[in-house]
Amino acid sequence: MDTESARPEMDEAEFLERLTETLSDPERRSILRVLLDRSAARPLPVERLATKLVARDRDAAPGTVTDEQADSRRTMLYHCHLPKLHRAAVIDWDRTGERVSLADRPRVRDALSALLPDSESHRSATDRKWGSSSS
Amino acid sequence: MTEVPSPDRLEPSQAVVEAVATAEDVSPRELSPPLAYVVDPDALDSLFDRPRTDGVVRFRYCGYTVSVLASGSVDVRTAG
Repeated sequence: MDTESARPEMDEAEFLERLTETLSDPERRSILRVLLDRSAARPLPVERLATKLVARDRDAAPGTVTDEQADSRRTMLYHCHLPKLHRAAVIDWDRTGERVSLADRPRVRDALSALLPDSESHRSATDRKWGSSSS
Repeated sequence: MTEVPSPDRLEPSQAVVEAVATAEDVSPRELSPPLAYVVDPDALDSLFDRPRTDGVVRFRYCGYTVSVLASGSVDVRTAG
């Protein structure tokens, strides 16, 4: 029986396989960056996560994000990204309570700290500038 | 039958949940389970990330037979 609670027991190879698959997507990298940067131990409401993601994209303050913008972002969090991150055992996801947190296992935090760029939104914005102005 | 045209900005996976939610008359996040438990949304989107002239992907989701057409538009019919 393959239940979600059995995930922590997956072996190193399977963990790495799922981790790299999940990190191949920019939205999932942003989600993990947001979770990694939090100091609070309590789970983050998905609504707040969506607001932070929209704000990150625009380099804007979370306060400037409208409910409607955050709401549309939540659709694919629920249908795609959070299930995948949960299956990879890198997040804990309370689907009905709509809260997420980084999985509480040292190797998760260590692996993500090593693999995730500090600030991807800035980096890719810079890359775009370079790409358009240089040959 | 509900057909939702898929504009450029709407990925097929998103068009699927919108179409099924419309057919069910609920919001997309009220559909259970999440789409990823039935089909890989990334795989679905990458199949259609370049223009295709034929082919169709069909699966069952929330009691509907969902067809994603070559054009990227989504057709949803009650399964059965």
